[in-house]
Parts: sequence; structure tokens; C-alpha cells
Amino acid sequence: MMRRVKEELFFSKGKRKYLFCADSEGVEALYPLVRQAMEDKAPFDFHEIKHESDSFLDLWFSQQKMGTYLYLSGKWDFVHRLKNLAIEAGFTEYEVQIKVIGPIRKKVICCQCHGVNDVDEEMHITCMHCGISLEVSNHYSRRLEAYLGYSSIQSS
Amino acid sequence: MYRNSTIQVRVSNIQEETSTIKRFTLQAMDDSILPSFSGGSHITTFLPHPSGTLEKHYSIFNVSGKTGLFEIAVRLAEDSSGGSRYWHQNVQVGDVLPVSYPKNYFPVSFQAKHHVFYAAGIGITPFLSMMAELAKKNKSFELHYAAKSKQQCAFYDYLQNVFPNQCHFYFSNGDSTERLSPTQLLNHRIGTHVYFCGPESMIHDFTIAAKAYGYPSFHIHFERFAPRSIKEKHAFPIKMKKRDTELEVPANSSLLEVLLQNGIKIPYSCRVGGCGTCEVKVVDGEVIHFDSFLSEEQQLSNQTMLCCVSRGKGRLVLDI
Repeated sequence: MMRRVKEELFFSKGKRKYLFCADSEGVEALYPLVRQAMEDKAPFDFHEIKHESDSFLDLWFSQQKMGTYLYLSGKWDFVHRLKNLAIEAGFTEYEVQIKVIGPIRKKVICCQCHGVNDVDEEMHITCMHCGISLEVSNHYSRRLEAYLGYSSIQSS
Repeated sequence: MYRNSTIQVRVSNIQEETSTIKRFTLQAMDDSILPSFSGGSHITTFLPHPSGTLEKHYSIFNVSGKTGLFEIAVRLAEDSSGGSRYWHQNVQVGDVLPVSYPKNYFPVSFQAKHHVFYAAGIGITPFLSMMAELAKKNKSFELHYAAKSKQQCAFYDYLQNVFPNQCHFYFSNGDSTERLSPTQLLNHRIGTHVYFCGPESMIHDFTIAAKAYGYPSFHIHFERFAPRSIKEKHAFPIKMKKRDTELEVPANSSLLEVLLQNGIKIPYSCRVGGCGTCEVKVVDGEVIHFDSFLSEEQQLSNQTMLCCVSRGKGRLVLDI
């Protein structure tokens, strides 16, 4: 699920219901998909999330049936919070697409010292704990909510 | 993944579960305990047969309450190729026979919030160990189990006693008003994984329905007793690149059978296209895939195939 955060959303056809969920910044990115759902005459819910509590969202997600597909769109903190609530309710990466508006903040674990580094979109970093050069991989740990950073050997 | 060694076991009890289903309890020769196994596991049994050893796979479970045993349930098939007839007519308490170590190609998902099992007839057997495992771990599950009648419903009393709140029964003779239907898949909450075991038509109907309702493949699990039926099988030639040899696969044989008959030791296990053990690399030619193991992407790549079930559309060049 995390892999796709910067890629364009696409319409996943053939689902029994769609949930569209955005903050005020993310609403627009969902319009083409809502249009597709309407054209396919598929049932959908559209929610612009403002001050809804975690317990409300958890209840909403948990009451969905299998075959429901979720789109999240908005700023990093917003989609991060909703993604975790959706997963807690039972959604898996095969039922969710995410669009991040604005900067992303991901965690990278150093393969040498296991220290955590905060990065945005750069692919090469220097570990702030042990100083080795790291290449940000796409190996994601759900448990650590972080990507693995490999030691990168740069040719001089 | 590929283990030749076997365990000798003694048949310690035979119980008639229905008029066509017998339960066999297998114990270790020295009264020690047999290897433990996870929910959904099976063993391969090796039976003497005029045409050589018969290898048959059976789900293992343990409803006896004693630890360290394997139990299997065998339905006498009308068109038995020898396996079920041998179990029913020849095997006696006290007999010793070789079996494989437990293997599991049908494990329960560790990500599911809820598990739903759909069984028809003897398809109940893998779910006995799966439900025992989930109950022990205090996980949420339910069973939907169809049989001809209450009398023909193997393990009915056991299931009613042990899992009274999770089991739903459907009898086609009219003992119950409800019939098992794929539309029940519409009722399951998000986070559900579904498991199907029964005749090919039942697995097919439920899988198709689940996909049509929007279930991701990741949430759909099934186990076949036999390879998927193929309407029309054609012979096809193969070339083995490494050996520089050509062979013909007749319409009524699988590629795996032809390779084994010609002394080419391809590792294999389930022989129904479900485990991936017999995968071979394809260099050239078009493959018609009949397995349920490779991803759609892998199948479309035309670079690999499971030789127990998949076939060539014309000539294939294999990297063996």
C-alpha cells in the first residue's frame, strides 16, 4: 500500500462498493474515480473528513463488507492516520489505494545500526546515527512502518 | 520443500463416520508422538498397488483428543482409482504403512480478522485442523458445511459439540430449509478470508462468485482433491534444452508423467497445480496454464509452468 503513495490513482473495476475518503486538499484527486464509479453504476460513499473521531471512522470502516474498495487522498498525516484505522478494521493493501498530496515523510531503517531516519523523497541518504551511505529500498516493514535502507557503495 | 523420507505408522483405530466415510487413526510405531502439524496440513500415503505404489494425499486432523496422532478421513469414491478402495477394503487395525511428513499448502491466513470455511462433503477434512488451530488461538471463524443428509454428514456430532456457535449445516435431502449458496459470500465483513474445499464445481462457483463480488485473490483460498478438469487435451512436443532431447506428451498424460517416465527427476508434490514444487522454466513456446499457484503476471510471462497440470499450445522448449 505504501509503495503507491506517489503514483497516480487508478480505478479498480468490479468492486461491489467504493469508499472515497479525503481531507480538503485531497478531494479533487478523487473526482475522476467518483465519475468512473458513477458510470459503472457502482455504489459508493464519499466522505470529506474534517473532525471525525477515530472511533467514528473505525466503526465506519468495520461495518463494510468484503468487496469494498477504499481510496484515501490527502496530506501525509491524514492518509497515514486513516490507513492505520482501515488496516485495523480489516482492509488489506489489496483493497486500498493512497494518494499523498504534498510532502511525504517516510522512515528508513539503517541496515547497519538499525537507527531510524526521517526522509521525504530522496533515494540516497547518510544515516544520521552511524554515518554510512544508504540507498532507500522499497522493502517495507509493516511492523516498523519503515523502509529498509541498504548500504550503498558509490563509485568515485 | 521436497522430502523423500517417510514415517512408518500403525493404524490404531478405524471408525465408520458415515456409510461411505471412514476415519483412520495413525500412531507412531514406538508409541512416541508423531510430528505436530499446522491447520490445513496433509500427508501423502503410499499404498501397494499392482501398477506400483499409489501416492494419495489426505488432510490430517486429530479429533481423538489424544496428542501425537494423525487422523485421516477417506470417502469411498465410486470411481476410485485404487486409493480409497484400498483404504476401505484392505486396511485393518494394526497394519503398518509409510506416510510422508506433514506438508501444508492450505494454511490459515495470519492477517485475517475473520475466517469463513465452506465445505461440501469430504471437503470438511482440512477445516477440522484449521478450526482447532483457530479455536486454540481464540480467533474468529465460522463454518458452512453442506452434505446430502445428516446421516451422510461426517463429523456432525463432533462439530456440534466442539464448535456449537460457529457451525452452519446444509442438507440437500430437505433436513434443512437452507441451501449452501455462493451468495452467502456477500455477508462477510471486511477483513474476512474465505476457504473452499469440496468438488471442483463447488470450488469453481464459489471462487468465481467471490471475485465477482470484489474479493481480492489474496482473501480467497481453496484446496482441490484433483486437477482442474480440462475439456480438451492435445498432445504436444517438448524439447529439453539442457539435454538436447525431444519428447512427445500424449493427450492423456501430463508433462510431469512423461518426464518421470523418461527418468528425469523433477521434484513434485501435490500433482494438482497447487503447490509449485514441479515448476519448470520455459525458454520458448506458448503455455496453457491450469494451475492455481502462479500469479496472473507469472502465467502471462510465458517463462514458467507447473508441469503437473499445465500444457503446451504446440511445441515447448524447456530449460531442463
